[in-house]
Amino acid sequence: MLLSVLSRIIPLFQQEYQYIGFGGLSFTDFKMFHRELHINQMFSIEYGYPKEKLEFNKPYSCIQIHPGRSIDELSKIDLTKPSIIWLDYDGCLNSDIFEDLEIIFNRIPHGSIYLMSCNRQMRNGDNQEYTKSELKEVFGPLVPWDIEDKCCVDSKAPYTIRRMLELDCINTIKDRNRMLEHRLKFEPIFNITYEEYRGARMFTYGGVVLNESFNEKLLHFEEFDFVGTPDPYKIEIPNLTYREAMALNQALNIEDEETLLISKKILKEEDIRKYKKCYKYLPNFYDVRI
Amino acid sequence: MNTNVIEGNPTKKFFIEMITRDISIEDAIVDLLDNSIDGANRINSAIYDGLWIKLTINDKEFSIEDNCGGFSLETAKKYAFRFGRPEDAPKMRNNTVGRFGIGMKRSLFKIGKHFSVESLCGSDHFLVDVNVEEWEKKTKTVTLPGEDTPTMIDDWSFNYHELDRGGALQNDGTLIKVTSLNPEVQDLFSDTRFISELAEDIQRLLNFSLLRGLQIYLNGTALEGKKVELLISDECMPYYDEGEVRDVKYKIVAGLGEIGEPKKSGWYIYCNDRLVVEADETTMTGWGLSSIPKWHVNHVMFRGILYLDSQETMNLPLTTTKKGIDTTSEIYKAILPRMKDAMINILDYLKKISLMGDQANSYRRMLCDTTERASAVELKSLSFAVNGEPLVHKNFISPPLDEDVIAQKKNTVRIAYDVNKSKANDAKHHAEASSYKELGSITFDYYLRMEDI
Repeated sequence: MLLSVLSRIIPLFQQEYQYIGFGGLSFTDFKMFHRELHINQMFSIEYGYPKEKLEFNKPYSCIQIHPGRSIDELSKIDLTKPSIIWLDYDGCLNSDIFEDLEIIFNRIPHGSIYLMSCNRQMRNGDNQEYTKSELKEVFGPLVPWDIEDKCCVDSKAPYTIRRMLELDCINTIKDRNRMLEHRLKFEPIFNITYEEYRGARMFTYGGVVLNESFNEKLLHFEEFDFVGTPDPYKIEIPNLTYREAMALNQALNIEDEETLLISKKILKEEDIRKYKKCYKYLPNFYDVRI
Repeated sequence: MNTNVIEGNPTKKFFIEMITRDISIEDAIVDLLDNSIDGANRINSAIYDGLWIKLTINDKEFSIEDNCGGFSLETAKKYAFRFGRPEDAPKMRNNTVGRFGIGMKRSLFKIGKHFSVESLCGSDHFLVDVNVEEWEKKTKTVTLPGEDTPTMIDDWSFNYHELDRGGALQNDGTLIKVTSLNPEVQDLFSDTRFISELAEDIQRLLNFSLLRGLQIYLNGTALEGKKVELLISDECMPYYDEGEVRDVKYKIVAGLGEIGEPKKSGWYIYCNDRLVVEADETTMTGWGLSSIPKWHVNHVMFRGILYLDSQETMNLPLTTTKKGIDTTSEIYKAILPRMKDAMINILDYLKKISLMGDQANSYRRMLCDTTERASAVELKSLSFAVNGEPLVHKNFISPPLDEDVIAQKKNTVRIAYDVNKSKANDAKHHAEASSYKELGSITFDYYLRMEDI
């Protein structure tokens, strides 16, 4: 999904991009963006592994390894160049995420894309949902003044995280504009919830920084139903076998054939609904014995 | 004749009361010093060698004398003794901080009921002598346009005498004397604590001028500039940013400073080299805004300096008392995000130091003891360059930290409890522990072993 949006946006701006992410040891996003988006300048920030190990595991020579914490390493990268930045945090929302955000939004130019992912649960040290006052204690002015009382219960948490992040993105750009000749604006794109394969409840948020005069309609996002949604867009992956997915592909949107799969008890109606929402973006994984 | 007129003019007495209400005596005196320094700037803005200001303060009299060029009769007539700067006043292209045309009069009214101002400036040599109570009552008769009968109105003018010979000044400069001190001023001027606080204020607020060679004497004693300093080395480089917003040049230098005095931590703001905000730890300078934490004792080493310079002083975001920044000004609002940007990495680094637990203080001290310093005056002219290319922006380079110590501290907790002393000594002896601390570790390990935890 991210890839499909990025490949729509990038050609519009006709500029060379750099990619900044947390590559870990697998560098999944780096491989994808290098091959699919032809990004040749890439920076991987990773904490907790020796530099030698990270260097050894990097799949392409164009990836520069920055061992360390994001707050330190982001300052060392020239973010005034057009950038795609995806910070896929391990933990839950914390103040470090906002510090990174502000470093980034104080620097990135027109056409740059910011993305972040984190665990969407908002809980205190005792694994209890934050109360409103605890939230204000931890995040201070980052919490909107009119936030509702039970804003951190699991069903509300992604709304709260989105509001807090969006507010900080917009305010940082607004402050920065005071010094800029060509003012910028922030256009939110991603607001997505999903479960990781290990069960972690994740949230991804992000958007693009544009010149104020740029007409965002040119981005033609209307065909993506997951872009710019006010409510978090929920990705639910149906649990289908390869054979079932192939059969469904052939029957897709042909009502009789879909009904047939249901009546034969091969698939449930629910599975088909979920599959239709995401099949275009699903990667294929195979177990291979090497 | 238009009779539907309600006069809105203030009385002089009300006017004096209003303009002097919000200024402290210290600030009134520093305002007068600013005027002298503005004169010094007109002579040579880079270096003030040979220029001096002498302040005499006692319970009878206040005087300030300088050899900083004086001001001409024309300046006196058009600006110095007028209330407020006329709209057609020439641009003040000499990097001063005086700008509202209110400073000198306000200071003099604040201090006493009788003042004289003597100025020698080239061929102009004159004296303005004012008895304030008489001046308050002074009126004149005028015939207003469209009226037949003359009307009596307040006379706001001051009289001057040209001094062909005589006068106290021998060189170009200014001599101001105030007598008939206001009662509260007389009380302060006879208090040595006030004099020593004033000396401190001048040494801090005017440190730029003092360090540039201007000599300021207070009751005969020469004052020295107090320094604001940052640690600077290859491993500890301040954040640096400079640019221009609407004819105001700004430069931000922020990093680490001395440990030990929490009152010195925070932001310092200089406007045309005059310190106007000192060690600020409030939201005014970004603390507690967005992701920036509120000031905490862990941030004691933080020092940030913002230099604002403009030839047109009206552009500077100064308050009228020069004791603060107009935070609603568009210029300051544009620069504040850069100051916050500077704070992010520095405060994060200071947070990491505090994670070193009981080793944090000795580490802070070691940093201070082993790192060179640079003063605010030096930092202003220091050019930050790489391979000879000047930089306009540079991130904070933090001294290396022992990440292992931090990681270890992060995963530990401290347990404390009180026990019977003689029993503790017995146990210590029995366990062959060299300290109570070691005994604590041994007994805790013992418990874990015995309980197979």
